[in-house]
Amino acid sequence: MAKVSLKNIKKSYDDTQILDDLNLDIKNKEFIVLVGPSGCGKSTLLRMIAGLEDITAGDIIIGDKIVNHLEPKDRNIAMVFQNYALYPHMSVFKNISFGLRAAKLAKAQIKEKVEAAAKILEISDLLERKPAQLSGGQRQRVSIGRAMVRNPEVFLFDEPLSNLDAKLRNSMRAEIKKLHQTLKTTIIYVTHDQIEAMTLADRIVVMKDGKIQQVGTPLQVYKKPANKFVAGFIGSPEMNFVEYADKFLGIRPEDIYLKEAAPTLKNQKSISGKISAVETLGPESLITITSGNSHITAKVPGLFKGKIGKNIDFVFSMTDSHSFDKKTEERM
Amino acid sequence: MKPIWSAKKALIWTLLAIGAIIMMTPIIFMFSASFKYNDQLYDLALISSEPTLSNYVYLSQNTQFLTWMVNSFIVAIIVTLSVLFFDALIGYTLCKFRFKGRTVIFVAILSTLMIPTEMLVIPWYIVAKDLGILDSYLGLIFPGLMSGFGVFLMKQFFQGVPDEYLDAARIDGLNEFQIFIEVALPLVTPALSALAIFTFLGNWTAFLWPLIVTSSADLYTIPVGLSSFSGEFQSEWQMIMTGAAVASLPTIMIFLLLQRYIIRGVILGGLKG
Amino acid sequence: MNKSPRTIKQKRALWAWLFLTIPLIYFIAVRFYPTVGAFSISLTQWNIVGDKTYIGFDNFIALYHDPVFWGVLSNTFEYLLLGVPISLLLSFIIAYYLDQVRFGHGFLRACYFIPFLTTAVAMAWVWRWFYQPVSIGIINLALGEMGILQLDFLRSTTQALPAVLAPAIWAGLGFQIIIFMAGIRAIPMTYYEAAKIDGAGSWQILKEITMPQLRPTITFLVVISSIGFLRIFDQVYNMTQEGEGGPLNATRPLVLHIYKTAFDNFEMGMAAAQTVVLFVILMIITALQLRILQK
Repeated sequence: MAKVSLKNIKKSYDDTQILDDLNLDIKNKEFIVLVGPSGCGKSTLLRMIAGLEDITAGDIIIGDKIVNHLEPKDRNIAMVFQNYALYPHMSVFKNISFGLRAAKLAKAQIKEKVEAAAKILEISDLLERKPAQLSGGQRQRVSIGRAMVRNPEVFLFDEPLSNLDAKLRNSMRAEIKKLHQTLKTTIIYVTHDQIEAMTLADRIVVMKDGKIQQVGTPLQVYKKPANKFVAGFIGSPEMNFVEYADKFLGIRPEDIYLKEAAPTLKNQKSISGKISAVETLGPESLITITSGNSHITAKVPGLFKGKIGKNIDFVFSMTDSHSFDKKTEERM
Repeated sequence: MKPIWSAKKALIWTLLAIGAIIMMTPIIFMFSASFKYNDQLYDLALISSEPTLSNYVYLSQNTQFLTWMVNSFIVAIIVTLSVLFFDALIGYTLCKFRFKGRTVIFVAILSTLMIPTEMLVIPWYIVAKDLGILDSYLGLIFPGLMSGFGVFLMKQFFQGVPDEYLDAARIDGLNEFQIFIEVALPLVTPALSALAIFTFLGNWTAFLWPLIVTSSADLYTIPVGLSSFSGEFQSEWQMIMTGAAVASLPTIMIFLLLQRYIIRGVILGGLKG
Repeated sequence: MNKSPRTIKQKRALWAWLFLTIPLIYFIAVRFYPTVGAFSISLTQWNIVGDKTYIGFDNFIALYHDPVFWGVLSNTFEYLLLGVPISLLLSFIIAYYLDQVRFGHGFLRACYFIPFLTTAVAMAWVWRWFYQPVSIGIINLALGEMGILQLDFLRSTTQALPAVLAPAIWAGLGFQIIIFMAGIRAIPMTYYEAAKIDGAGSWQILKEITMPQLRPTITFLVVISSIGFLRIFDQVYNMTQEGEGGPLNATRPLVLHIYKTAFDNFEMGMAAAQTVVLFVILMIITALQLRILQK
C-alpha cells in the first residue's frame, strides 16, 4: 500500500536552487519514470525520497507516513544504483543478503529470501560468485536482487541501465518491466534516456531546471507535450520547430511525408527545400532539408535515393502539428 | 626472427646479476658469519667447514635478544594497527563527509608531514619525562599512533570509492561507523596493506626514538638492543653478526612470503603518498 | 523550530566530528604542541633539571659562531650531495635495464630490493665489520689477497664519511629501483612505438621520451632521498667509535649532533635550536627542489 506523495518539495544547496516547489502524487503500484537532462534535479529528488539527501522544505509521504526525517531503512524503500554498488569482496549471496544481515534476520529466513529472489532473477547458479566474475547484465540483476529481498513498498532505480551496452539495455528494460508486473510494487525510476522512459513508464515525469514540466502517460507526453521543451525532449529524432508568427510550430519527423508517397492528409501543408543530409537507418531514412534558414528532418520508410542538394517537397497535416507560445513556450 | 638472447642482452643480464650479488653480499656474509666460530671469520668461505649454532644458542641463553624481539613486535604491531585504524578513519571522514572545517583539518594534518621527527623528539622526551612514561611501552609507541602520511594515502584511495557503495549501505540500515568498517575498509585493502608495510617496517627498524626513550635493557627494541650489545661485544664479530641476522630475519622472511604484495604496496605507497 | 529533528547533513557532520575527536586531540597533543614547544625551547637555556632561562636568539648566535656546528653542517651536506646523485644514478641505470630483462626478473628484483627491508642498525654493524683492518674486515682481506694496498675506511678522516654513506645508499637503492621501474612501466607503449616508427634510436628515446616522462618520479625520489640523507643517523651512530661521529667529528651529521647535544650534554635549548636549523634546511631544500624540478 504505498502511494508516494511529494508536497511542495524544495531543495537548495547554499544559494543554488535545485528543486523548486515540486508536487507529485504517485499511485500505489505505479511505475513512474523521472526523465530529464542532466542537472534537472531528478537524481536529487530520488535521493531525497530515499532519505539520502535533506529536504529544504516540503513533505515526502510514503504510504500514509510523513518520512521527512526517517532513516532510509525505515522508509520501506530499496534502491538500485547506476554502478550497481556491489561489494567486490563479497559473494553474490552475501551482497544480496547484506541488508538482511544488517537487520539481523535469522539465517534460514535470509537463505529463503535470497533464493526466492535469485530464482525470479534467474541468477540462482551465480550465488557463490564474486561480482568481478559477472557480466554487466548479471551484476545489474544482483543489485536488483539486493533491493528485492528487503520487500520494499517502493523501488527506487537511479539510471540502472546506463552502464550497459545498447543491446543489453534493451533486454534488461524488458525484464524490469516484467519484474514490475511480478512484484506489483511502486517503482520510481530515474533516467536521462527518453526511450527508457517511454517504454517503461505508466506515467512519465519530465523535469528541467528543478521543475516538473509535464506529468502524463507516455502517449500523453508524446501526443500532447505541455511545452516546447517536452516536445523536443521526447521523441527521436527530435521534433522540428519552425518560428511562425507569434508561435513555434512543431512537427515530429515521423509525421512528415514525401509528397509523392503521402497518404491523404487532413489540412495538408507542404514545405520544400534542398536536401542537406540523408541518414540511412535500414528500415527507414532520415532526410534533412534546408528551407530558408530552418532545417527540417523527416523520417520516411525504406531506402531513400535522393541526392544531396536536390530540391524536394515534404507534406504534413496541420492536425499532427503542435503550437507553442513564442514567449512562454507553453502549448497553445 | 631475432634471437631471444642477443649478445647485448646477455651482457646486460650478466651485469645485472653481478650487481644483484653485490647487493646481497652484506646479507649473505652476515648469515654466513653467524654460523662460524670467531677464528673462522677471516676465512672468506661462505659455508664454514664446521658450521655451528653456538652463536644463536649463546644469544638466546645469555642475552636479552628474545625480549628485544618481543618488544619490537609489540611496538610495531600496536603502532601499525593504530595507524591503520585511525589513518583510514581520518582519511575516510575527510574524503566522504562534508562539514565545516574539513579543509582546515586536512591541511593541518598534511602540514605535520613537513615537521621532521628529530624536531619533535626533544619535546616528546620532556613530556614523557613529566608524565613518567620514559622507559615504558607507552613511551615507545605514543609518537607513532597516527601519521599524516597515512591520512593522505588513505584519503587518496577513498576518493576512488564511489559514494553509491556507501549510500547502498545506508539504505540497508547500517550506521556510519558500520559503513566504514564493513563497506569502506574492505574496498581499500591494497592501500591498507601498503600502509601496513610502511608502518611496520618503519617501526621495526626505528632507532632514534627508542634509543632516547628507553634506558633499561628490558625495554629495548631490537635495533637499540643490538646497538648496545654490539658496542659491548666489539671484536666478537660472529656474535654481532648473529644479532644482526636475528634483527633482519623477520622482515626478510615476511618479504619472501608476501613478495608480490609488498612490492605492490611499496609502489602504491611511494607513488600515491 | 528548535526542536525539529536533525537533518541528514547535521547527522553526517556529527558523525564526522565524532570520528575526528580522538585524532584531533592526538594531532594537537603529539604533533602541534611539540612543534611549538621545539621553537619555544630553542629560545631558552635549559639543562632539563633546572629552570628554563629565556635567552632570545642567543642559541642561534652561538651556533653561528661554533666551528664544530659548521663542520657538522658541512658533513650533512656532504651526505646529501654525494648520496642523492649516486643513489639516483645507480638506481635509474639498474631500473632501466632490469625493466628490459625477462629471464629471472623476479629473482633479480628481489636481490636488489631486500636490503631496503633490513634494519639500518644491523646493516651498519655488518658494514662496520667489512671495513675492519686486515685479518678481520673482509674488504681489506680481499684487497690483501689481490695484493692491493689496505684502506683505513672508518679510521680515516677522509674515507670515513663515504664509508658510512655506502650502506645508506645501498639500503635505499631497492626502493628507488622499484619506484623507477613503476615509473618506466607507466609510460604508454604507444610513445615508444611512435618514436620507433619515426626512426628514433634508443639513446634518443631515453633522452627525449623516457626521461621527460619520468620527471614526476625523479622529483619524488630526489625530494624523498634528500630528506633521508639530510637526516642520516642510524649508520653514523653505529659505525663510529662510541657513536661519536668520528674520527674527529669527520662523519658527524646534524641529527647525531642534536642527539649528543640533547641527550649527552642535556643542553635542551641548544639542541632545540639545532632542530630548528634542521627544519629550516629541510624546508628550503625541498622547496628549491620542487621549484626547479616541477617546471
